[in-house]
Amino acid sequence: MRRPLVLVFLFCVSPANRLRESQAADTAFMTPDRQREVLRQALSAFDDAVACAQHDPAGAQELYRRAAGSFESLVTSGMHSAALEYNLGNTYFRLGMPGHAILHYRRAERLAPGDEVLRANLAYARRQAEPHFPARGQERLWQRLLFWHYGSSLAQRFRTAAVLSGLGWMLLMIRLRWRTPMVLAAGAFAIVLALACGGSVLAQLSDERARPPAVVVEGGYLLRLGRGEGYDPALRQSLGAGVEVRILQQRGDWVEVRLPNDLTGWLPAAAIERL
Amino acid sequence: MWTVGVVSNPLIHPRGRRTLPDVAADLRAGRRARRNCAALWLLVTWTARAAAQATLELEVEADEVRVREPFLVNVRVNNFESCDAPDFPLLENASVRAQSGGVDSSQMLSVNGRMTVSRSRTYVFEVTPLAAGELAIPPAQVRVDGRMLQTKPARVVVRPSDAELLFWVEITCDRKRIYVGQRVRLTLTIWVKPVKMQEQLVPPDEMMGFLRVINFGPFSPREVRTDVRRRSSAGGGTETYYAYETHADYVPDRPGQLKLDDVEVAIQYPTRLSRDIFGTWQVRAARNLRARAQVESVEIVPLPTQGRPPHFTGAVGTYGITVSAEPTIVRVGDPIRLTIEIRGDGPIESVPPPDLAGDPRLTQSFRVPREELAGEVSGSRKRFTQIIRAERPDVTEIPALEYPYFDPDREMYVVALSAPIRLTVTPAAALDTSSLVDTSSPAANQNAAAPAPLDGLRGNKTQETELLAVGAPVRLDRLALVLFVPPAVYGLLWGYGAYVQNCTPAQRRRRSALRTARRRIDQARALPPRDCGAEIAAALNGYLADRLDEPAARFVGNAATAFLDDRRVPAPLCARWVRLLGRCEQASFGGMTDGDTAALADEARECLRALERERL
Repeated sequence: MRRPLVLVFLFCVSPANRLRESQAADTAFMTPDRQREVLRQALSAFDDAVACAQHDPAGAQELYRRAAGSFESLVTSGMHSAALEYNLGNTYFRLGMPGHAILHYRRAERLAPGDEVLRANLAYARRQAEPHFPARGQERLWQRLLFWHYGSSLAQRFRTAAVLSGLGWMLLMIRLRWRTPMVLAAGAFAIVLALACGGSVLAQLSDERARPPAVVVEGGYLLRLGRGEGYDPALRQSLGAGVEVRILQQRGDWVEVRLPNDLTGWLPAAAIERL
Repeated sequence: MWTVGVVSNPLIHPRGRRTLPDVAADLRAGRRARRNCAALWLLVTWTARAAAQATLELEVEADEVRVREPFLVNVRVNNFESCDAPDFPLLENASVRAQSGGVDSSQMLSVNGRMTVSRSRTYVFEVTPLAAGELAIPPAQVRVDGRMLQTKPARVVVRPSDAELLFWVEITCDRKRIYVGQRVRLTLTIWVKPVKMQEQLVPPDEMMGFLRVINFGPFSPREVRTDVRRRSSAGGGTETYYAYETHADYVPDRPGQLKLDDVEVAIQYPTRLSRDIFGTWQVRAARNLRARAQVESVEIVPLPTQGRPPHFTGAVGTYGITVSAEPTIVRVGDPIRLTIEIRGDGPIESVPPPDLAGDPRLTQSFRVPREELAGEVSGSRKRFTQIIRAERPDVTEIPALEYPYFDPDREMYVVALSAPIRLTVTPAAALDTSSLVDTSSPAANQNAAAPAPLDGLRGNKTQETELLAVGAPVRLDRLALVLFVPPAVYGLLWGYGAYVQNCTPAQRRRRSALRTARRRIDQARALPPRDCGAEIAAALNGYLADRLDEPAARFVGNAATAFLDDRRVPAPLCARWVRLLGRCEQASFGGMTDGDTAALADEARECLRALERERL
């Protein structure tokens, strides 16, 4: 009985080790000390830019650019946090790039959907994007009904599914030895919750893979009926930076996108950036 | 198209009794038969030769037609290998239109087993005479199998048309003078003189079934109203006509006369009708009439330039404007959603938006995008939405918006005005910098003294641990790992446990109990009756011993019964067990026949099966 359990333990532990090693390899571009130093530089540049924004707008812009570069280098080095994406969103907003700002706010929202400060800034930035597509009633209803899906991050749901799945099956293993109904009920309940969380994660990943969310980062492009400048516009008004879309397909340098009001059309691929 | 025909041989006849007159008659009959045979051979040969030769025919649908009523002319090529399309001759006072590029048909004829195949191709032309008199159709030439063939000429009598008295189309307008861009209502009326059959008029609905729309222009053929009216005839009296009316809204886009003469309707005007078994009229003969719409004279005039307002965008009709704004309490630079609703009796679908970017009273206080607005039509209203932003904190209202339009009834320009909207504009909010100020850094003091930036963003996050987190992205393979590994581990453990449990000698004995007992019972069938009973009893007791991993001697006699009672085996099964053991004992001491032996073995097998279900 002891030998199979050891094998099972090794089987479970080895993927986790590989995961940790790959993450360590990703972040190996920058030492932790260097990361802290770059972060301090970025925050300092941002603060300086805020301070001189009114009497020296050009200097402030340069400092914002420096802050954005430092934050971006941290992201490139493997840092993957909601706070960092949020700060990048703020910096790009101050640089007058609402498309990039909304893009990073959305990335931050994906990691920390419950962050009130982030939601306030995202809502503010969205008001700058034109045309504005308010959330429809049906979407709001789904968000209320599936609050646990929309109100928690992908990572949170993934972790919950992992813990509950492990707990539930462990209880069922215990039941193999001590056959009590309480253990069976608790195990089954934990597994059902784990499946719900796992299903939610699967649904979001599948949805994002099928129709990747993206943000228009270069404004002024017309949404066209076909992939080329020779096609008529699908919308008479050009899309401003910050409009959020879903990518339906990409052909060459053009992508077919769907707007929040379900209108579809083609945009140059350079105009948008995936989340 | 294929046609098949078979001709039987007429030369076969029965033979009767042979006398002299019969012989003479036979000789005569033989001569007749030879003559008939020769004639038939000639006929077949001629038919085959005729079938093999290409011919050209011209068929005219009618000998007598009327002016402007088309009729069909067929040019048919028979028995050809290859042929070109015919050159139909040009006709004086008639127009010709080819209707089909040649329709092929084939015919197969079988005579006494000899097969003849012929094919033909028909070209159809529609000829419309343009003047009364005699219409001569000259020979048409066709190149067939390399030879040039020509048809015979034909003549058709063309009589003056009376179609204008039977069927015509009119378009009328409710005004004689309209402006470019003005919406007017047009009426299309199709007049049809009803056909009288069997002393009664064909009903209007059935007459409408003979109509065919060629081009209805802006009118809808689905909304036709039927009416019966009387009109004066050429003879001075009045006659009954059916009037089919439909309406359409029309907006002229250029000055001049109203032109809709491309509206065209056709009718298959019946000249002979009969009723079918369901009582509906069926056309036996008809005249093909066509009519283009006669348009009433309506003058379209351009909009006057005199008195045209500077921001006029082209709206013609009578309009009103309503404006709403949200929110009305804003900071400088905040977006204000302006909803402009235009309502009126003009062509609301094409009504242009107001020129907001060109209105100086608005642009002096607000930032207004220059993009052209796309409106949303709802009934007789069109709604436009625009985002504007206050540029200064001293702005107190959104001024009344102007919407100039041309009123065609009053023949002058009018400016519709919306009500001004009160607005509260505050200076832009200060940035909430409390979260990003590091009090230990020299920049903190500068930030505290810095003037407020002009936006409403919340501040940066500054916690290092929060910012420098490394979160692993969630992927499908990791999700699969999380969801499938624990059940796999559970399955392994369960399988291992089951394996371990089944590996003990007691488990092996328990599993093979039934198999062993059945084998012993089968072997007992071959023993003498006296030994058979004892062996079956031993097999039954052995089954119990194996199931419970006990020595076989423990279940001899009534001990087994008591044990079965303890294990809550149903009473009837216990009684059956007791009876079976009794019979075995009786057989071992008293003997029995071979049939009884087989029955006892079967009963023992049944009893074991029942006991197995009890899962001892």
